[in-house]
Amino acid sequence: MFNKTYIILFTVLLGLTMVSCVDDLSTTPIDDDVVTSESIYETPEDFKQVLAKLYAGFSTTGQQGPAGNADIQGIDEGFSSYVRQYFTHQENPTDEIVIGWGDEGLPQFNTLSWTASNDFIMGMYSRIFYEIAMTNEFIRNAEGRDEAEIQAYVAEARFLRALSYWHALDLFGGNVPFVTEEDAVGAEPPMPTNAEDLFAFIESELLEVAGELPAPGANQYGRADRGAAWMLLAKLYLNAEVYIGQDRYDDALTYAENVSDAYQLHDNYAELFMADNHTADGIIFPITFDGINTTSYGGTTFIAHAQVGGNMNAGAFGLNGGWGGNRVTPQFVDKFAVETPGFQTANPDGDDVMYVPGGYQAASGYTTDWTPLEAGTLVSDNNDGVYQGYALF
Amino acid sequence: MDLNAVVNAGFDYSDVTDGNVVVPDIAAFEYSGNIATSGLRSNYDQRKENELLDFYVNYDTILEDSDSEMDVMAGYSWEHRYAEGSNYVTNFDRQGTLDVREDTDYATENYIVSFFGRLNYTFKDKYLLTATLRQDGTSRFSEDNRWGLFPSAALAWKIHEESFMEDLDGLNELKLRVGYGVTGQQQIGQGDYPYLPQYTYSQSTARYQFGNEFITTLRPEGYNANLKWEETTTYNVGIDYSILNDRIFGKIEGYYKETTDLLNVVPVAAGSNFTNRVLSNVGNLEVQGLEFEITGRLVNTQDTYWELGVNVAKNSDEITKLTTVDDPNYIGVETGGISGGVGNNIQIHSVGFPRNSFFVYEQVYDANGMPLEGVYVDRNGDGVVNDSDKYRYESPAADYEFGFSSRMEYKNWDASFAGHAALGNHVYNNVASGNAFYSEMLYEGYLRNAPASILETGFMNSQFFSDYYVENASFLRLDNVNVGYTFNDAFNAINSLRISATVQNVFVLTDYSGLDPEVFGGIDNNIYPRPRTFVLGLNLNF
Repeated sequence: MFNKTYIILFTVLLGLTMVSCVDDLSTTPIDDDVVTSESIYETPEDFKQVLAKLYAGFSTTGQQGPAGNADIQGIDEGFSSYVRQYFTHQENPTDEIVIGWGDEGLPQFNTLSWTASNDFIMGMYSRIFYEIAMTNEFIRNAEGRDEAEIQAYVAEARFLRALSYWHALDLFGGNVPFVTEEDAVGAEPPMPTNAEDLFAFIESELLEVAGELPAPGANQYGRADRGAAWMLLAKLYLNAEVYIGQDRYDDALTYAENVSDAYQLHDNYAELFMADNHTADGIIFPITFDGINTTSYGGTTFIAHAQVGGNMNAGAFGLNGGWGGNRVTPQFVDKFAVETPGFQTANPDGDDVMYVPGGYQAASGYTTDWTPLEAGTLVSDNNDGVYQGYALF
Repeated sequence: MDLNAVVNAGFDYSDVTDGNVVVPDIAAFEYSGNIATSGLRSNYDQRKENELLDFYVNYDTILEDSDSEMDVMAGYSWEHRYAEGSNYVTNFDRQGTLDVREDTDYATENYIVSFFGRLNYTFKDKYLLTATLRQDGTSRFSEDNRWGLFPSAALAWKIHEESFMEDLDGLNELKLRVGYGVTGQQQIGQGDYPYLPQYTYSQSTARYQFGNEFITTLRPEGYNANLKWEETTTYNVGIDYSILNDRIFGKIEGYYKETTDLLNVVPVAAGSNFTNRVLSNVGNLEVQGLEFEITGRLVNTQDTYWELGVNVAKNSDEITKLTTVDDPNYIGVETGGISGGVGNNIQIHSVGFPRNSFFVYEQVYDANGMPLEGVYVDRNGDGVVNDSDKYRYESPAADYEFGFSSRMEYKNWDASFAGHAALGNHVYNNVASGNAFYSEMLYEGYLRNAPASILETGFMNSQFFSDYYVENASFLRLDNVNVGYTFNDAFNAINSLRISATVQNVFVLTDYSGLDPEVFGGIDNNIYPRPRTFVLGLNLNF
């Protein structure tokens, strides 16, 4: 008798614990830095924090800063920065810069010998489509929300998506995957588009959001306004002949004039490159970095550090050290040798000057005590923006 | 007949608090130019709780009618793993200017619940059957894919017990074993919620500027709602044997394992997820092996005993699938990070090749057999040497592995040795590739050490991806040799006394140029030789 009661009681207890145990398997994150997607998009303030990430996608490389909890994988987090990748793709294949590091995939940018499996090509491509996927998610979640703030954010997100698609068109041609807010996450692999369709999409998106974005300069610093959309339209039209074989120079001129009418140039060019450049005139759309709050090993940190090395005095650039990466070639420096016609030692007429970046090889003459004040500059004789190649050393 | 019920409950708790202090007055490398914000003070904290509850019932019985025995077991288990921790790093002096460099914390948990059953059945003490079935549930996958069902069955036949074998005097044991089993894998190293759409807040150092305000950002995380159990099916056949009055015994075993739905972090179609690499059930792997073991008691007389054992194993593995759709242009998953440069990988998982194959350029040598710096074979013949000319060259896994041991006794003397060997294992010599070039040795005007291979290569700059650095690391190692003498009844109070001498790590025969041919993972960064140890021993039994 006792045995039976015992067994029944035990079985009931066991049954109860088993049920509760199986329920345990439905966990949700317990870390206070992590939230599930259901509780994200409630107030406009929530939307604003995701919008901030859409902008930060161009600037930071992860959620920790300067490194840690990276956005994309398969490449060093510092390398993976959007701006750093963009700089590498736009500058390193040119005669303006070579990079002195031997990291897998990088020297191929100096010698124009990269392939599709190059880590940096993968990094840029991943960055672009990472940004596009995030903007799609944001736009998707804002559908049906009629708060004015949220609708304003959506226009900005669409601008950022158009910007990334333009990078895709410009760097990888038109046959890239095409996804919008209509495509669910993790569903079937996206179908590739073509240059004509992609061009038309970017153009129509920009034309549409240009009407919704605030007037030039009217948005908060760091956020896109109508000027940014116009500028991007101008760039798109300027290269339309390359992208889709159509001459759109008139349109390029129209939107470039819209921009030049809306902004004035800052009176001191050099100040545009200083830490407080958010107070300068003439900045249309910045990607912002900050030494304390928006940190990474990409962006301006990379651009400033990578060009300082050898015997250059890092302190003279306001840096805590150089990375010894980017430099100009000796041949570039030779263009400005003392024998060059027009070589001057002073700029008595106060012509416009353009600073020559890098150049710390011995051939440049800067074996010791390189300072910005002694940096090579090119001059525009007639102050018309045409730099004749004179050097003021 | 016997009925048992067993409950196991376990609780593991660990709490670690640790930290570092670097005083800037002493440690110049932490001096940043301003003493107030220099130096370092870090606090690190981790707490882990693991709870386990197991319950099972076991019933065994002898069925005399059918001359058989049976035991049946059924039960369930529940496991909870919880971990939390934090990191706080600042400058040394927290009283003055506080420079917070890191202030992060985390918390995470997972559960596993299992139901399982087992049947053992023995018929006439000659035929043995074991069958198991378990259902495992994990909190790491979605409700639809959470449960995995894993069966197994094994049959054994004691052939030597059969009547028709009775005439074979020399046969002591002959047992045939056949087995089949499926196991599941859900430990994925990708967090505890890889199937859930989540968002992560940024730290204060990764905010974004809107106007004059820095906004904490919210990032959508990549996820895969369709994750499920990775399954490995194993088939094995074995024979245990013993002949000539147990003078010679051992086993032969062959196995074949196929893993499907491999949990693997793979590239995701661009634009379709919030990451470019996502954990997916993609890939198949086949592993097969043959093992042979023999031990002989070569001499067994009153005064003398000598036993010698040898085992040989041959293993091979091949990745048979890596992508959902067959893509001949997909080179594979790069792996095996090396020291030197940033983010450089030397290995790759590719379809049709063993795991962790080395992915390198084929070095070109001059007439004297010296490697030519930066000159590689244009393997695809397109006129340029670039990434597409890399090839998969060997892997860290050995083709054959051997073990051997011996034990001798003569009167009061005893002696033994044991060793092991491998053939066909390859190692990437990262010590050489990362240091043996002149621009590293003559860095910024002062001299640094370089491995001697610099004399052979004469490389000016790093050539990390040359197959020159992938070496055959086949070896034979004598692990230990031991000699001893035992005194019986030496003294009144002492029953026995043994004196012995042992050498460990006696010698290694290898052509590998690094310090030690045995390198886990196949990437050698080892700069400390393994010690050879001499031990004198004295054992007393009272």
